[in-house]
Amino acid sequence: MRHKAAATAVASIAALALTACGSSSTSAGDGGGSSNTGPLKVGLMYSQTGPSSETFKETGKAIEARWKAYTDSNGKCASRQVSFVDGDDTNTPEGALSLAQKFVQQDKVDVIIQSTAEFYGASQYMTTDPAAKKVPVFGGGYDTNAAYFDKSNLVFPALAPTSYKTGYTQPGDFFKSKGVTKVAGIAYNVASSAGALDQAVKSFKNSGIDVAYQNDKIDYGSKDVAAIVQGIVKSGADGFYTTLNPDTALAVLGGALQAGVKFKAIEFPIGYGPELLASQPAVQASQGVTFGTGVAPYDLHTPATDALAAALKKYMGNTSGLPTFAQTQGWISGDEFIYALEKAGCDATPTQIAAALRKSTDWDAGGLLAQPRDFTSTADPKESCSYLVTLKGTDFVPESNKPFCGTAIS
Amino acid sequence: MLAYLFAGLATGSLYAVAAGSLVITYVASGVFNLAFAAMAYSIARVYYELHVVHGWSILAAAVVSILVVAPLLGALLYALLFRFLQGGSTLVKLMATLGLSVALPPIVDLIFGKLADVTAVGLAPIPLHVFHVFGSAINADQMMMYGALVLVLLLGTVVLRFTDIGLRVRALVDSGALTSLSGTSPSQVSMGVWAVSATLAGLTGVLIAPTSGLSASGMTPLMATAFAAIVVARLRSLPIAILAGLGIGVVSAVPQNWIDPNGTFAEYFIPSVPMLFMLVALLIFAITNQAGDAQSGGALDKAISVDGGDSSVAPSHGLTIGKLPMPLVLSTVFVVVVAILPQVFNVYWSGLAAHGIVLGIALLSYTLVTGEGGMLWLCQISFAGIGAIIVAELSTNQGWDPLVAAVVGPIIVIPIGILVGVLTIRLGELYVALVTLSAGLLAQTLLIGADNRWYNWGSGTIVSRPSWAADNKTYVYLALAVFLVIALLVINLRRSTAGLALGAVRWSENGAKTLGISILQSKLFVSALASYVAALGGAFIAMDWGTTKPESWNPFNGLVWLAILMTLGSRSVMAALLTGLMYYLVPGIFQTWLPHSLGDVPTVLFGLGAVALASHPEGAFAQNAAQIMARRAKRAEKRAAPGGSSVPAPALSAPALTQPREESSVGRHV
Repeated sequence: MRHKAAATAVASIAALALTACGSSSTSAGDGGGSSNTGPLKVGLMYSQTGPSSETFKETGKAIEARWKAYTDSNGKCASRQVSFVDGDDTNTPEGALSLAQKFVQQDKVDVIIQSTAEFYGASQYMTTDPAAKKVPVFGGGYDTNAAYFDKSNLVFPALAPTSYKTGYTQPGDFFKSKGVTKVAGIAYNVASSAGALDQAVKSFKNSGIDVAYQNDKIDYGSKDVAAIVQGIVKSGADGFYTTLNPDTALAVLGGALQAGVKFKAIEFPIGYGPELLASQPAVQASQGVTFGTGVAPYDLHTPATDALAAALKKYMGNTSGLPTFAQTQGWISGDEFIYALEKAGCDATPTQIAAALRKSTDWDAGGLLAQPRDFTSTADPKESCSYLVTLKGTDFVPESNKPFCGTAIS
Repeated sequence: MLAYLFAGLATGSLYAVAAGSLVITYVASGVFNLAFAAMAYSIARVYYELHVVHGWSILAAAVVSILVVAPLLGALLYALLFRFLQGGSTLVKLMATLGLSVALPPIVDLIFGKLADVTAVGLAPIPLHVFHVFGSAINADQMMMYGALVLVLLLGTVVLRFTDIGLRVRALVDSGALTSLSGTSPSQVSMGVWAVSATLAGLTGVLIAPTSGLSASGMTPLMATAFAAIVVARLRSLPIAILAGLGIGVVSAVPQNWIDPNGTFAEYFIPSVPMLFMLVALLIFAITNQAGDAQSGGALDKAISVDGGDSSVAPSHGLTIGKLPMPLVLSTVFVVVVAILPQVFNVYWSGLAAHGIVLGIALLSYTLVTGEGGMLWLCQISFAGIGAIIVAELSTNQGWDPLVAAVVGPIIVIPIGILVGVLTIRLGELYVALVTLSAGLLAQTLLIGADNRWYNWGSGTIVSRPSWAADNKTYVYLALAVFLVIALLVINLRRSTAGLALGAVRWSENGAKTLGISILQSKLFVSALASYVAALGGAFIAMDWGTTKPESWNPFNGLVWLAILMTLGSRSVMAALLTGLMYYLVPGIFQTWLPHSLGDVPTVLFGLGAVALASHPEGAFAQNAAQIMARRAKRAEKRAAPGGSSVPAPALSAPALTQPREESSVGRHV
């Protein structure tokens, strides 16, 4: 113990010197095999440790399950050899960057499939480093970063990116259908959260709903909810829309309800899934909340959702059938890769796979997405669709068996 | 307005309970417990497990978690950690408790598992009963919070001031030795204090969890806001801490009755309220000359202490290899090993080495300001973040050469460093720590991590390396060269007149004054230099990563940097380099060769390393040097003894370790 700290450090460095010398090359251009037509090495980027890792930890298994299901069903390109390299981004942007560097420089992966909220930490590297920018990145898309809006790179988020500049009629239409006349909107003072609220505010105004209280200056991590509640009370709002994290959003909602506010509609863009049902306090606090989701909810029981549930039961042991966020997003991200491979041809190189996907406009993850994904454009689409489910008791009840679609507000 | 007043009181009560509990702990133990949020989370997690997961009643779950598990946790932590902190320096106390705060939550998560949804319940039954007071709704959880405030106030004032137990506790803080002479067992009293402190932490955790969420990362910022109230209370006054906590809530809330919550004023004013409270209080303290640290331990305690002098001084006096000083030889070997790394590492591991070396540059700022200057600044990472922004602006946006931008640009922060120095120069160590931590948090919120021209959706602004050092291998050598230049500067500073003056000031400010040394001048000099070095490090980190990384400069990350550095030695420049390398290479080892399920282990290890400071405050480098000295002394005595008979070796508290040492020997702190 006496020499532990110093000895450990020296031993670590010595061990590294012996074991980390797979290549003495120092070129920054040691990337994956962009011209590889043989077995594909796929890096899986998601959060296995860190504060929110519980939400993401099954992602890797879900991606691999998608590939296993594909090969078991003798899919068109099932004969292409694919191996997976598991990686942990530690639930931090810095961890995502470090992992991307490992994938490119050490593992020399051909493709990365990410399903993480931290990819923005790696996006600069993946689009500017000479080696990294040859490695296609599929999946994810629930963070926001500039790479998602640039068609010249090889980054293909599974979920359509939004610049938040365009408002769509959908949230306004939904709130209006519920009889809302005044709405309160709350967001963090970070670009994606505030941008999403701004989009919704445009929609509410377009629908003739008065935005009685708007606050997108909440410091991320702030727990100062009482004054916000008072602002909502004072505004007389009868509708509530927020892009805050669910626990803080529920604290605001609870305060407003206790203060006697009667909401006709409450919408959280995130929070749908069995994770919420696993938390008794969250279930109690979320009664009547409508959640948005870009993926068909299990509760609709469409062929696509039933197929997903069956596959998760078979390959991941999910007995409830209700897919977790990680399972859904991992599955979809894996599906995007398979779709791109089929489009490009089964012996395509990673570069060719990326090029084929860039020309695609019809991928919908086997019917799971609310609308087909158009990879030819990174501009905001003319139409935006999402499903809406409302928590009643312990059930998520779909508001409709079809997605709610809204057109861009000019 | 009344409604906003009550809203402010509701939020303020969260800060007040946290601040009150921290003050009681500090008054009763002399330790400012940075692990308070981690302890609060741990007990709240136990409560959640019993009540929500296993369906226990609120009362049963609360009694077991808050009144049984929490005191046991406090007693256990006393036995393992806190008992070693008595008589330790403020820095060591802070870093050891910080280490605990880093290590404890992952351990709790290993036991209970992580939560995907952190929504929590408090002590009131669901659905919450709502009381209407002057038109404002106050729910049962908030009523519980007010009740807890009264309890904390009673405990802190009545028990501590007017009971025999309180008298013993206060006596122990004043002088453990004299308390012991009076027939009271200091260890029993201390254990009791920590049991009560953990109980308060647990109560606080359970009460704030419905608002903060059941996570350490949610509770920590809330506690950080409470630091302002604690400073206002001069660390000791419980009623003022509680009033200040409530005041912060009220001042944050009431203006929202008139201002646009979506306006720029609200965006900047509301997060700044705790800092404003702090600044006003400091101004008053400065005017009234009341901002020194309270002294714990009496003359007898100091006289019988086995430690003495400056615990950060390495006892390597006289150690040689051949004719050369041992630290110099070992350091040279270490630098050579680091220089060889790019030759044997692949591009990825060379990249990790580069990350570590540039972090080492930034860490040298701690070596300067804390190791040499004796100032406990916790905002160095913020200077580094500003350095990253500066190099991005100058090189990427203004077209400067990256290296010129990285070296020249950080000069901009020097006035900021001097300003921080001027504002904190008269404060006690703990005040300095809390003020600089709060300032760093504010800088992160309003500038470094804010949605501005350098933010770019969190990806940051691209920062290029110099074109001739674009590859990892060359960049390692560039970074190492810069590190060595700064390291030599630090060593030369230590040996210079200015450095000796700093050493005198660090040893005894009053003594230095009698020698005619200007404390202000000495400290401002090192403040300016340390700020520049931190920003220089930040600029090199940004060039290394290729981006400004706007979300990576949180002062809590900086605390972890400092904790690891302290574990190895705050005054050793080589410790800074080793800390940087360990910070990236150890997780790299886990990422590459070990199961990802063990991914939290490096965090726990770094935390436990800092906890170990409690028993070895000098850090691993100095500790190893002391042990080598002791072994050599023992061998020499064996040789000298007639017939080779063994003679007991002198204890480690020999004069070489306990007396003030002159600091002119070459390479002592290399």
